[in-house]
Amino acid sequence: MSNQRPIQVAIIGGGCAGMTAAFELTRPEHAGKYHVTVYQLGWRMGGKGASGRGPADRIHEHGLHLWMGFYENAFRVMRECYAELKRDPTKCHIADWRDAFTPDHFSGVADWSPSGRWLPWRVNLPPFDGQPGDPGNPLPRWTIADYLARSLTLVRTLLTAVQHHEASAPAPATAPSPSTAGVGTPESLLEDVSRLLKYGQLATLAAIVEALGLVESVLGVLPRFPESVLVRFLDAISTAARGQLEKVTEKDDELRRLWEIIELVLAVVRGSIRFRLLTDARGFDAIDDYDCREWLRLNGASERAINSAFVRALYDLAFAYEDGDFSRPRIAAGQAVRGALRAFFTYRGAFFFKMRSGMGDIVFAPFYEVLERRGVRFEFFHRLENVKLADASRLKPGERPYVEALEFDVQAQVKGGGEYQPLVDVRGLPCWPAEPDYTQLVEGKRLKQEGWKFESHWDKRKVGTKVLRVGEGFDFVVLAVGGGAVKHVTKELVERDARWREMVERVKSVPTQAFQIWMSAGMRELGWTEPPINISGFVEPFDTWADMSHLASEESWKRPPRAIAYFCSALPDAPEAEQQSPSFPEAQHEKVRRDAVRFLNRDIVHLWPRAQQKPGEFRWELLMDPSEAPGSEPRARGEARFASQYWTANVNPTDRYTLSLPGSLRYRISPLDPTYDNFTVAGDWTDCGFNEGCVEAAVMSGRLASHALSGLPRLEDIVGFDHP
Amino acid sequence: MDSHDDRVKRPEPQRTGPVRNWWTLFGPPGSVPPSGPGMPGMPPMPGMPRPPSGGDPVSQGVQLGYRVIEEYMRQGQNVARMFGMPYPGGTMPASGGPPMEVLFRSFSEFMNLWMQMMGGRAPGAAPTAAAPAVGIAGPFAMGEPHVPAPVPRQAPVSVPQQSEGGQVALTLELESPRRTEVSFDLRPRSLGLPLVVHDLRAPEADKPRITGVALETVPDEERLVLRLRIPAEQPPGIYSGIILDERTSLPRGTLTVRLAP
Repeated sequence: MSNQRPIQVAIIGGGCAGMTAAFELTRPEHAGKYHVTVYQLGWRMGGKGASGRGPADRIHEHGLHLWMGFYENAFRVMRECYAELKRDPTKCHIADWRDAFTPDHFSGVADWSPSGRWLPWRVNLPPFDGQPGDPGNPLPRWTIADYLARSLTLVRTLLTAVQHHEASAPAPATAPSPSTAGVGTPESLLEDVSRLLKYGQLATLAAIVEALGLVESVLGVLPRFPESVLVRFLDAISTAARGQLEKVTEKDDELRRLWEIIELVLAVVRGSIRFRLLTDARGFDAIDDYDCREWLRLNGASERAINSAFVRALYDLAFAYEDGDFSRPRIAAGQAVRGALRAFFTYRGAFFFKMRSGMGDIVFAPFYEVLERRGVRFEFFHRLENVKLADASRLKPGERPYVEALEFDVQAQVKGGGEYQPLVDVRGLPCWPAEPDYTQLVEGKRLKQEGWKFESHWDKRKVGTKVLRVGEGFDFVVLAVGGGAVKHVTKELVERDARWREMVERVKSVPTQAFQIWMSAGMRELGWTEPPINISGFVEPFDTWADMSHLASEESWKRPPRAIAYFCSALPDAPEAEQQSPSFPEAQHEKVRRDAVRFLNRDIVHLWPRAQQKPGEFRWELLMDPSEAPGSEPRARGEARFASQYWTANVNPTDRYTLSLPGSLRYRISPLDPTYDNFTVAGDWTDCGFNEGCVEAAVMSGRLASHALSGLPRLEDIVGFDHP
Repeated sequence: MDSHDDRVKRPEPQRTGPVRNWWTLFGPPGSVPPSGPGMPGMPPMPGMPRPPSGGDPVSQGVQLGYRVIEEYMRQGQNVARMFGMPYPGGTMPASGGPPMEVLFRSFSEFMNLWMQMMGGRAPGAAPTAAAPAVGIAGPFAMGEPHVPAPVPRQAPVSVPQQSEGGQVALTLELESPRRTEVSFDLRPRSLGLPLVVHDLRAPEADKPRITGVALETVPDEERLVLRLRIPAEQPPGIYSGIILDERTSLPRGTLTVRLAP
């Protein structure tokens, strides 16, 4: 690169991926080599993570956002961002990253008991040393053998618990007599396995636990160990354990859950050995053409185990329902197993972290402030319409294709031609508003009166257009829009490049739905007597609930709510023709309202037994309306009170959640893909190493995009990229 | 304006995908099986997470699981130290070995390193001199003479029927216009059998097969020669085929080829 001037980078989309790419490219280490401009639809950054402050400064989210303790890249970037921000804690109560993220150890899944009722299965996952994103703390080089060893340890512990739980616990088995070939050698392990198989010494739980210990040892030397013997041994262990436990577990919900987990883990271990994943260069990718349930079934898990609360929660948390159809749960087995293993076995600090305010306020306001200080320009109200490629006939021999121009619709002009100032102050905390500040916009009053919906795919109104050309408006492009929007903004790419065509066809996304309620009664009064929790695997249409009551103090109510609850799930996709209708978003919004009302009337009682005033009717008077003064006459009664709460149908292409369907992951395009020599991609829809929709994947892709353009960060510093 | 001669271009990528399997590169993380992971009541190992705080079995299981990986890591690092390899958190070999950046440059280079190590240590390693390969054959480095594939060594075991008469070496003759990853998986006791490889197919029906794959045995050298030619127009993807015993038509293994985009 011979240019002496700074390299102009246009980043399209200010979600987690785009902001991360901007953060990486403007690090001081680059000494100003890259000048970044972020182009953003509408008035706020965040994409699927955007939030806004509504009436009473209520936080309005796109959905429910929890950060997991294995989000090493996301936490690392956020910690650096907060460190650089240097907020004054006397003026802003969320000054440090520890103020922003609260460890959340208490989680659960909703379990359908054979006794015919929903039971929350609560787990208190212990804190672990360190914190996600700890600097200078090298992380292990993960292997599948490591994970399997950990998994077997989990099974042994569960079996030991079962053993203690069982009233008529059998006497411990005689320990296998030591082999003669030397303790711990492959030869001695094989002798032990053969003896156990031959003499059927798996008649007690204690013996099974011992046998599992043997398998753990074998994993350390697996390439020198006959796999067929090991699979046979595992089968014998499973059969023996099933024989010991199945009758017992029928009557006891706690034992049944433990047995389901044991079955699932044994299926993963057995499958990893049968599919030779330990030595397969593709790691877990090798089984991505299978659906996770299908693969578990292939490897011996029972129907009961693969339909257990744990597996349902795994699908729910990834909105893993093709076309939002709850009868078609589908997720690529490799990525699902990778995600579960990373979640359980590599978290630091806490399994989950909750944000202490809206995601926009916790993540995107700090990003915005730091990047602005670094000189990043933000062009709000820009809607990308086309990525124009250079004519192939003009390419010289050996020259790679490149992006020649970016074509935008400009949705609004800022008065005086300056930059739009997007943040509002909520008691010292910079926040994003739920609506644009029309006073900053040319003819803002008219735009407001006419109800321009800047974030709506169906509102194509504009005040002008803008074309950026290579070498003038940009040198490099990072396409960081939401996965669902890609096909709408890259029509030319899709038309000319078969890989892009396959990508937009095969990498599907799904709309989601969410609602939030603010209540005048505490959770205990509603019958939930446990600590605040996140629960998945519950009944559709809202399978996931999180108690977010901790946010009450962040909002500006005259009388703070005593409980806040967020719910979310996938939203069934409508036929394509229906989606073309201008009234489609409003119709979907109304559908979500109806879903939420029905859910509160009919289903929530299973978790909140005192939330009904009579069978089939929620206690609507508990809902708090921010427009009502305390003690005043209610503005509405009955279920009409729900109108004062917040709900959303995330049907905009940019808001759709990217799925990890079986057989689809190979069609993703990597930020490292060099096909276009001035263009890269970022987002949780890309092939970024962790191919599942989440903050961590988006941040990883943003870091990869930065690496693709600048060589930094190094790939080995992108935690979890090199991972089975 | 039709010319963008001076436009800025992206740097050449070191690699375009993740390394998914370190074990493939380095072998198992220790030749000694891990010591028994802590059971309830066992004191934590130095530097390990805090001991279980009681509570439910899932919590305990996850907590105890953490000890296992640390032990694996420790053993893996010991092996790395033994071979003078870099490892996360470790210092470089005192002998002034190559810097970390160089060693991390690419998957191919890692593989080379591994090959050199295996070639130097493994008894009966195949000779490396043969006809030069053409193209880029990840995990084999471009332009290198072909080298034996990393067939796991078969340890002598006490059960007679599992005994294996030494290891099988593989020579890969590859012509490919693009980055190609080859996974070769052959059952024991296949050397000397007349082996054939079916055409390699992709899961997508519309992609053409890779034909003409040849597998020959060189019994005197206890070596297999795999010849593979990838046409220039072959679409990227994963292609697999079964290796059969020609006499019995029973499967003896699989061959998988990944063509990078």
